[in-house]
Amino acid sequence: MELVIETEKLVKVYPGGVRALDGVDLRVPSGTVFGLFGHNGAGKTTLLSILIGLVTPTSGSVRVLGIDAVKNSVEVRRRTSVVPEGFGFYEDLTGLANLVYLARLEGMDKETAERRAMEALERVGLDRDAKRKVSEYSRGMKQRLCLAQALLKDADLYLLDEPTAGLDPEGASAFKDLVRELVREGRTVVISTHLLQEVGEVCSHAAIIRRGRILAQGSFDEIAERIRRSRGYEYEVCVRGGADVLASALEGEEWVVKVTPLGTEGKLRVLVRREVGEDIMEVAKRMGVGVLSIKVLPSNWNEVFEILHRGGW
Amino acid sequence: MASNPILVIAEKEFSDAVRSKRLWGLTIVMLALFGLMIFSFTMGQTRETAGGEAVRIDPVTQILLSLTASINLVAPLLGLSLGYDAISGEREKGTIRLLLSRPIYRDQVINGKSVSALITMAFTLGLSTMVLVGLSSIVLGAALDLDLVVRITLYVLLAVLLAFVYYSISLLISTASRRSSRSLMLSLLVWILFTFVIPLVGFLIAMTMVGPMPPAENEEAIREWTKRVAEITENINLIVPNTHFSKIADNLLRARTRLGEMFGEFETVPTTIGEVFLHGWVNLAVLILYAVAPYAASYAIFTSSEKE
Repeated sequence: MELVIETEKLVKVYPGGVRALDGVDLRVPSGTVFGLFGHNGAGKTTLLSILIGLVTPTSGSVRVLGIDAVKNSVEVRRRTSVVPEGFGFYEDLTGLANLVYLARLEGMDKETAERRAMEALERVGLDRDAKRKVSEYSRGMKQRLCLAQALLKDADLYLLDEPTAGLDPEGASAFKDLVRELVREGRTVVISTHLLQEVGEVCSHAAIIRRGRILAQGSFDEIAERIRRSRGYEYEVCVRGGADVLASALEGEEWVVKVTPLGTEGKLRVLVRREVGEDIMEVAKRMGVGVLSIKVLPSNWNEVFEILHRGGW
Repeated sequence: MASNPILVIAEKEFSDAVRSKRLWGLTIVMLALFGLMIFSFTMGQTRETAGGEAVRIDPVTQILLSLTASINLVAPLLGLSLGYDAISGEREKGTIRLLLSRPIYRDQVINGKSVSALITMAFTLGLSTMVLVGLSSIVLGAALDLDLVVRITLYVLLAVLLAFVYYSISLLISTASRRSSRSLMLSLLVWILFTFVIPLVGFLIAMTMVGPMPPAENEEAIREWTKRVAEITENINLIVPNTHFSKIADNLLRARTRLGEMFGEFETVPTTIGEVFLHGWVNLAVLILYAVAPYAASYAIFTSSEKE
């Protein structure tokens, strides 16, 4: 698979000794929505800043879209769109004027800049507020305006740092549609966030970063399978009454390691030695317990993140 | 046609500047100061005449003295007002992150802002001077010849250079700072230091070095004492960019005013424009150095900065 981002043994030590990145080998496949998941201070923003050449790594190499991002960062930025964290706009200018200015800094002439700015505003649903000053925008509108500035050009790669911060559920949903649309067009989108519940579902691939190190990376299936192999298969079973009966029955099976009831909602967490979805269903049927749902963990990025941060790798 | 980032930034900054209250405030200060000076000359002249002994200050001298007084105050402040938040303001607003994620070099940001600052300074000082000199010469009946117009034009260009010196200094402070309020405070401190503190301290040091003033009856000794104090003060003031500006810029106008007669006792006053620049090329070079050095330092700091 073609890689759009490839870093090797990337280290960044800031003056003062803060080690933001500690040997990062990141591989982002082309045409994917790639999540860069980590808590605040994990090194995500530093990594993104290095990718677009705003921060120079202490050691290691970075190639973005096949370009050396240290030596030719302007070329990388020419082909990349960025939603930076902690961004701001010129509050006394209109949303449209802000975008036209940024578009012209992309090298567009005035006419093209104005057309692209209006198109981008339409795409994020801000076209009717285009001529209002940014100082009159709500936080969510500013976040959408920031997404719009990333859509000013047809980039090959989109690097979005905490793009859903401040968006309401409707805005977050529109954002996910937008990301899917970009990927359909053949672009690659990297989303750096700690808000996994909001964006996790659109990410096909991810890297989990902690204290400047990548704990795991790859597609969801690859990472989940590695977790299951290393710590055993874990199922979450939701039943319609009789959870305690099913728990006792499962504990008697030789393939079960541990059964943990979860609260009072009729949920059980079952740790087993092998893949046994059908076997659990059979035990439930035998005991006359109705199963509402059964899923193997981790079933989403949030669970992967939790497991890896608990040290369950 | 593809846009040049420096010109795009300069255009936006200039548009912001001409809409800013800061710029118009300083222009009003300049106009008011000029008007006040002309008014005080007129009043002073009337009083002298009523007292019996009339000392006429010719209209050209009135205009030129008013112009130098107002520009000496406004030009440095104009430079500071354009530079103090040039970079720190972008950091504070977070706009620097959007700017730097474009395919542009960091130095283009500084260059674009500086081009705009230069145009703004030339526009403000030039237009104000044109309006002030034009109106006052009509009102006072002063005859403006080509030589005088050229001298005033060169004077304004030197004032733009002085303003750019202060712009560079405040740009340096702004580049090293994260808060515009702190940058403004430090920039004003530099201005106060150069405008009031160093000249005053220089004078006090000179007085201490030369010793007490001789008795009043010894005119020759008093003249010598005054000359020594002025020399030492002037040497100390060479640290201040305004001194270098005054040395060359005032000479441009002095030949057309009665100031030449007043200063003729201590120094030879160059008369032609060529002589002024021949006489003051070192001052001009120092002034350029004062503009370039902080600018280069801002460049170095901003282009190597990583935490935005």
